[in-house]
Amino acid sequence: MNHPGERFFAWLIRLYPRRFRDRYRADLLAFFRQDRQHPRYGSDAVRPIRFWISTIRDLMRAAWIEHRVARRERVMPTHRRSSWTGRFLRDLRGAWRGLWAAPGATLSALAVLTLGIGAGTSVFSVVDAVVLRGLPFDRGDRLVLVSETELPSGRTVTVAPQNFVEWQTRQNSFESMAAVTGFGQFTTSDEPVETLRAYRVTGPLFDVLHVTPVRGRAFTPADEASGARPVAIISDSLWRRRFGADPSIVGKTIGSTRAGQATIVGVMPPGFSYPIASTTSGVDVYVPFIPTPNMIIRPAGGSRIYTLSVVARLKPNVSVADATARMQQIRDGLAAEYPSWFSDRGVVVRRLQDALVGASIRSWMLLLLGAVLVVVMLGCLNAANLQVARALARAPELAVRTALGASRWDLARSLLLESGLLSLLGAAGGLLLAIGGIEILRSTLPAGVPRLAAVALDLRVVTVAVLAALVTGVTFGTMPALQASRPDVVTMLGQAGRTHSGGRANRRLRTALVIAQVAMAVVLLSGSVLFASSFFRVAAVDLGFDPKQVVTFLGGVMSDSEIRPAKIPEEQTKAVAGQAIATTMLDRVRAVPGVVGATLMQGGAPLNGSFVSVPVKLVDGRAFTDNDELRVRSVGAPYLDAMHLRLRRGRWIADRDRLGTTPVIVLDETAALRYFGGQDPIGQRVLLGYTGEHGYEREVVGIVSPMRWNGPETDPQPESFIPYPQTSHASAQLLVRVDPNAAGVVPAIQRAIRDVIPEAGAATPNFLEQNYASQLAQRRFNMVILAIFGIVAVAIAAIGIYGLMAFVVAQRRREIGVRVALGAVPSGILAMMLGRAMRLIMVGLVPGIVAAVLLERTVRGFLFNAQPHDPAVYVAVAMVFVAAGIIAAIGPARRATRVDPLVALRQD
Amino acid sequence: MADTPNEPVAELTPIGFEVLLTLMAGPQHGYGIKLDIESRTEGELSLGSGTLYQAIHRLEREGLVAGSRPGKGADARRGRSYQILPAGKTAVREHLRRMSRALEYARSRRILPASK
Repeated sequence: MNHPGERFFAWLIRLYPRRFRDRYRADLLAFFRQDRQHPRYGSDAVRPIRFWISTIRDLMRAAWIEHRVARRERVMPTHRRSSWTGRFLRDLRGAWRGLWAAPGATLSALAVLTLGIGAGTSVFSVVDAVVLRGLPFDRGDRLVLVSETELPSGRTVTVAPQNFVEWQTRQNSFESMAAVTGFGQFTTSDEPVETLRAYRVTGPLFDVLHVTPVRGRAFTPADEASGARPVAIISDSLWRRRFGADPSIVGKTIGSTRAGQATIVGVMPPGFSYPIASTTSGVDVYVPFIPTPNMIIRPAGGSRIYTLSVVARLKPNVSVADATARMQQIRDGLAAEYPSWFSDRGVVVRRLQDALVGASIRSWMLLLLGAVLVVVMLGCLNAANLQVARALARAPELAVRTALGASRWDLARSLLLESGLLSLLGAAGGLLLAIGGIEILRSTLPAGVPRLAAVALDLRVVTVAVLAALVTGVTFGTMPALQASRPDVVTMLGQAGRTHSGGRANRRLRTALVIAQVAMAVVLLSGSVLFASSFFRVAAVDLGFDPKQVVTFLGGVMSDSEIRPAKIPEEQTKAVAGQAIATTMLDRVRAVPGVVGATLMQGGAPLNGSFVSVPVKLVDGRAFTDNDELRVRSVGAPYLDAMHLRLRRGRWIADRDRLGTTPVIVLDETAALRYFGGQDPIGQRVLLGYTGEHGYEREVVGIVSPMRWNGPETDPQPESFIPYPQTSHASAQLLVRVDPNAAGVVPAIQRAIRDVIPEAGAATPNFLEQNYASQLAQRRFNMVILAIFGIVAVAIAAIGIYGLMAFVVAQRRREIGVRVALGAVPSGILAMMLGRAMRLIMVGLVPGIVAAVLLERTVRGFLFNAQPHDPAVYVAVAMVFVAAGIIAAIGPARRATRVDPLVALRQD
Repeated sequence: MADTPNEPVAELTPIGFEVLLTLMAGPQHGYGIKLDIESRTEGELSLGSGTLYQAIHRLEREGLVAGSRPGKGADARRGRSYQILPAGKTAVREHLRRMSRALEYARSRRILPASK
């Protein structure tokens, strides 16, 4: 059979049903060999084509007919032993029919399994991606972050370039080491103008991470020399987004002439981003880090600037502890040389993964995982309960089948299949739900959560979910039924067709399962209430200002030397010139339709953590007893209205407070109370920034309401405001309140800013309301997800109670019939059945609340101002369960009242 | 469905009939059957392997023909030969009887020319 045509024909024979091809294969081939010589296919060049068309057409038609014949024989398998697969298919069809024989129980079990598996799988996928999975780099476990620490707090901070340079030459623990720092201005030259996320990196970064550009090249030392031609490496996504995946990208330029350009020398592989992106948008542009001379020398009395994030790859056989010890030695050596640089700085080496996923995120994720685990267990318990009920209901049928000669293996097989099928259907539904759930979670999780982009349904999770479903379903579906089928067939048959009393053990099992469900649901619902009340307490905190509809445009950061009035003439000239430009810009911005109020300011926006603080004392030299520094913001007169501050006493900053008039200051109530106690501060004169040089005087003219400048969960700090024109600022930030109904305000403001200050590029708007929302995001997320879990839990428990009550009513029909016959009134029977349901609830409530109270301690760290063991929480939870229990039991209980004694008694 | 004399005579498909008609003359292998039908029908009916063996499969199931054991040597090259069984002969005769009755009828009503 070495002719290729014959081999092909032999292969085509597979199209026939197995039995046909087994029988006629040799004949068909013999026919084929002879037919190749047949003259009717002609003798020209198209002969093979004619031959094959005819052969294949004939074969297809015959195969089609033979398959129909084979199918018909399968349906009437009377005269031949069925194959293993045939039997399996028949059993499967039987199992499918068996499932839908009790559609109520099947659908509830499916719903419960779907909910449990869906919730569990989606939350686990998130936790897995955020916390458990390794970094997306080659040997990511060998990557470490080397940071300086603030002493004595030990808080990690970024690294001074001077120290990084020394580390590089002195270290011997790392294969390679690299530094990364943000790079502000990179705007695209063509519309739409976009500010690109750019980072400056030192050359070895790509070596450290074991990643190389897929197009072009990495940075070379020549790129990092000062005065080198500016070059850039771009991300795959930017390459696709802005350059249409241009294959000749290397050599093109990026950026605008106004804000700086660079030649593209490389493109990174898809998905690469360092620092690791939280969401899908990662870093777009990498440029070489070229240190300025100031970053290498350590001028006496010069400022120390900490800007670099340092990543390194450990040498083989070097542990994190070894590296830390070595870096500590290097730090001590440097400290001996430059004491002023290290009096308040230490060093620490952490695994990149640990640094990325901080302890708080880790414990938060584990909390979510714990909560969802309870949901899954609840789902499994409930499914188990329903399975027990189904199995019990099937006992008479199984007894009949046993009597007709079915072996125990036959019964076990069909039950196994039925449970397995149910579990698989539930798992499939759960996975579908999880696909949607993961999307929802990804879009609702706060942006600060690392590696959200990596969240996806993965095979391990799916496998675990399916296995869990199978084990639960099969265990609880098969055992009780087999047990029920074992005892005396005669008794069973005698009772077939009505509910028998042989299921006492089963009823106890079911009662225990329902009580366990109630207890677990109580724990979850208590958690939901705790988290929800915590969220609402945070949301109700008065900030002292209104972040809604306020946008800031932040530029340079001010230093405390700028908040004093300009004294020296050159400083004055600079400030006057700078403020004149800023004022022109402000006028333009005010003219934009939709702008309600706008002010110049310096000193950082609320809710983003930036501030400038200075020491303060009374002008007569008396220091305040409290040595807290005063936070100072320089603002314009419209600030009060734009921020909706509340003036308590005195006056606010006015337009007449300019350079040359008496310097004034407005305090908030926190500052007033802290520095002046019961005295009236208005008219008092304070001295700001008295350390070092001389301080400068300001007269207190007004008091505003206390403010929680950095968000609802921070303590109010002493805040103060000074007139922006009474400072030596030469630049300004902008704060604007906009009309919520006006469209396109922000781009219009950006255009106005660029008209006056072209080098501003696209000024990035910063919406205070977004900052506020992101501060509440984690709490909001916790609240929503635990509320969903709580509701699901209560629903599952209610289904459990309903199922059990329905079962009890059916089981006790006869007893109820007797009671009715003896004169029991319907209301009495209703009360009896509801009382039974209440007993279930109560028995579940007690251990549930005890567990919830114990668990409350572990979640208290996640709660805001929680009152420990607030009885109101637990009373509310108990009420919910009583209500849920009554709702679940009312149907079966009313059915019990309608039992006709004649019918019920005649059944025996 | 065993071959029992009491069973009604099997209905034949057109191709099944042609195959049986060939086998009335003696056992024949698959390709021989095809060639015989082809020459008898002057090329009007030229069977492919699939059509032929599907028809043989059906005839075998109905107990009208039986295949030989697979042969050796030159026999193997031509494939198994098939032999008509008594039930097959009955079926062919019955079929022919019906056909000739139809022919007579058609001729008497001049649907067909009286003779060749």
